[in-house]
Amino acid sequence: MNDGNAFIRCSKLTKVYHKGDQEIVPLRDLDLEIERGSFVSLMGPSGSGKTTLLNLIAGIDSVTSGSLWIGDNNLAAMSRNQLAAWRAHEVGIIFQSYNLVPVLTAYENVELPLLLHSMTRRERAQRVEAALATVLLSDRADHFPRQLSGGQEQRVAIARAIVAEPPLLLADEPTGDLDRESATMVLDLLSELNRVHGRTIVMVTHDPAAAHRAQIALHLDKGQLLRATSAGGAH
Amino acid sequence: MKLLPFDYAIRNLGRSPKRLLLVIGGSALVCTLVLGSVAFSRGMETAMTASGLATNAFVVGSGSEESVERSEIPPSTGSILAASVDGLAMLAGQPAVSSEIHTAMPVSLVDAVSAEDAPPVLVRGFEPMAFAVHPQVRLREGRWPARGSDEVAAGPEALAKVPGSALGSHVAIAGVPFEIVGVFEAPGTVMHGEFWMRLDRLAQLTQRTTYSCVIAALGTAEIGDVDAFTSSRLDLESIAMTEHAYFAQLAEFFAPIRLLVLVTAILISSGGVLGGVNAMYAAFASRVREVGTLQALGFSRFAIAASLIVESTVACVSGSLVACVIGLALLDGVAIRFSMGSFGLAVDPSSLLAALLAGVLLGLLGAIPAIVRCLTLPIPSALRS
Amino acid sequence: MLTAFLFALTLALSEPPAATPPSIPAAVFIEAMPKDAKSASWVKKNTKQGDTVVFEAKIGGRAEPFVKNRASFMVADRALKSCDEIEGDTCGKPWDYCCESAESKKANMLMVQIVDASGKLLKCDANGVHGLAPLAVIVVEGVVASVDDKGNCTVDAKKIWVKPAAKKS
Ligand SMILES: Nc1ncnc2c1ncn2[C@@H]1O[C@H](COP(=O)(O)OP(=O)(O)OP(=O)(O)O)[C@@H](O)[C@H]1O
Ligand SMILES: [Mg+2]
Repeated sequence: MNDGNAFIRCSKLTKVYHKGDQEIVPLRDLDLEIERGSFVSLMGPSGSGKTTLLNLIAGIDSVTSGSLWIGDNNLAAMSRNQLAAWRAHEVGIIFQSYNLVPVLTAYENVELPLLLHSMTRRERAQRVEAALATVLLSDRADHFPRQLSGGQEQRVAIARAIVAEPPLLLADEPTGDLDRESATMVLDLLSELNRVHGRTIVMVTHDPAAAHRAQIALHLDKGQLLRATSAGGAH
Repeated sequence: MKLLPFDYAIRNLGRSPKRLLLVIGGSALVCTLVLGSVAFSRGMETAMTASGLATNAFVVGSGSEESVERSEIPPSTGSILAASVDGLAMLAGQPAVSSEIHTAMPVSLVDAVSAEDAPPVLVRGFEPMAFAVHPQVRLREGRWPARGSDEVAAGPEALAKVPGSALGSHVAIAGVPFEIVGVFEAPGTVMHGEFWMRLDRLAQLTQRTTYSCVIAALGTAEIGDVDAFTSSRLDLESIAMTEHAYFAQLAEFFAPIRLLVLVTAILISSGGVLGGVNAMYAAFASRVREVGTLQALGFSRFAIAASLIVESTVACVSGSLVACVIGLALLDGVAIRFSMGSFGLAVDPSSLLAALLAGVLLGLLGAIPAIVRCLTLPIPSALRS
Repeated sequence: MLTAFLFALTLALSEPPAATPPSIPAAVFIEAMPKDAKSASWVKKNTKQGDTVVFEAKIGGRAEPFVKNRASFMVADRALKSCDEIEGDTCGKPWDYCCESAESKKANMLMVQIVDASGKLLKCDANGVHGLAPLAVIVVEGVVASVDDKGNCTVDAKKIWVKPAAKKS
């Protein structure tokens, strides 16, 4: 099971959904290894199972069969509560539609994940300020999401994803709702987090230009990994 | 266990002012009704307690323990009791023994257009010794009716039951005009809502040859002495208890009514419950994706449920606070009148507490459907919605 | 401090007991059934105040035959049937003789009381004492305290024999 030292290891990973008597199998017998510190883009047609794979890696969906290891954790064998605790420490998730909490300010949104850690208010403040600085939004800390542009919202979401300093970042079409300029900024940020801070990043995208920023581009089709090409990501 | 900030729950309340108002309004309705029915219960209890003295013996016909209005005892009962039981309180050299008739009769203003649907009001036939056994009674205005006269005295709540009546006006009782020559008060007791006329006049008016009850101030005698007396006098066919015990069992007798009031209140308020729960459900359902996000961040379902419960409880308790204000401002002391007298709604600590508890309960239970909806959904589905 | 507390406690506990509450002297209850007992209704018809009488009766006559806190209770003539003697009756309080007319009750009930040396009614319950209970059959030896033509009759009991409760077969 633990051959090699890849960070993410899927073997014969299968996900089956049941819709009435109908069986939908977005992922079938998928084998995949992702090294620590790599920036992987995941492309494929709509319905090919990209989000499903990302959700499995994020520990928010349950494996039907096969194995899924991330570091030393066997996600397929963990309970709902164990997965929740694991997520709080090990993963940062970035959504296509930002998913900020509308009643909380940018600062409070970023602070949320830290509430799951044992930290003093001071420690939290330092982390939140650092994260907001990373996404260049220190001056918007007191703004509510509705007072921010889409690109700014997504940058707050990125700050929220990195504030607890998880080794793994997962992004599902993070630039899908953004204009080109904002998208570039978000991609720059992700590249920087990968290069400078050594975060492992898996990013689902439809945009070839975005995929180009990753070192490795994976293509999913009908639940199968078609090919893994080395993208031009290394600058 | 890591919880969501309290602030989050509170700020969520402000997300949809319309829904918040619905929840608070629904809860306020429910809590007001609960408060009202408990106030009803408490008011009745208080009136019963205030009306019946533990230091009075209450003698009624056996078999009529539950309603003095149905009781019939020989007119001689009082004098025999006075002569037979030692130690009764004395007034002006006489044992404090009051023979009375209690009867509910329609009372209307003379010249009233429709005397027919006049409400029944308790009319009490009394002798001056009544004041020795009913120290709660005070004459406020005018004078007491004279023996054999067509005169009555009235409690303020009795006047309220006969619109237009006042000191000096004439009321028709059993078709006979009586002049109101006095107004008395006995606050907090059933007597506050009665008409009093002289015993002989009421016996004559109702063509009775029996009285309803004898009330004796015990003095140094004990209720056992009076009980032993009534027991040994088979011919009087009467039984004795303390006046306090009589009213206590009367309150007991009305327990089903009080329950009915409470049940009715709950039934009526179920509309408020449904409206409130529905609004809360809608409020939470619109946040399914947010709840999914919080779970994705690593918050436990327990933490999220706790936050939702805090939110709904705060909203519902605001409703019960509104209910408490309404209760104190509008309901407290409102007179409930019925044939045997009247009592005021008592908005006391226990009815306020009941309203608060109803709010808390509503908050706890009302959040459950929404919590079930939000937290049974798999996270990926929640995130996609 | 503690000793003071203990002292106070001792004081509180050793408070002089209130004058022993009155009770029915054990001597009132006798083991042998007195002979030649009359009926309760005979006593009502044929005696006057001060007469010594011996009669048999059954405790009952109303829902609460025993006066609370007083050694006084109502008895009924054995000729009357209490509800438990009536086939198929499911009366909750079979000693109330609810099936009898008021007239027959008046003619067949009387009060038995136990007085102290000065003739004062004892201030204690008789219910449950030495087998006295609703529906118990007793033979009373006593003195007629009062009787009138209105149906009232009270007997001061000097001796009471309580028929042992028949074992239910
Ligand atoms: N909860 C579910 N129940 C049933 N079927 C599901 C569920 N989630 C996903 N699917 C199905 O699984 C397949 C893969 O879905 P998935 O969301 O992973 O696709 P995707 O590659 O992310 O597509 P897109 O590019 O449109 O986001 C689809 O056919 C989808 O309908
Ligand atoms: Mg997708």
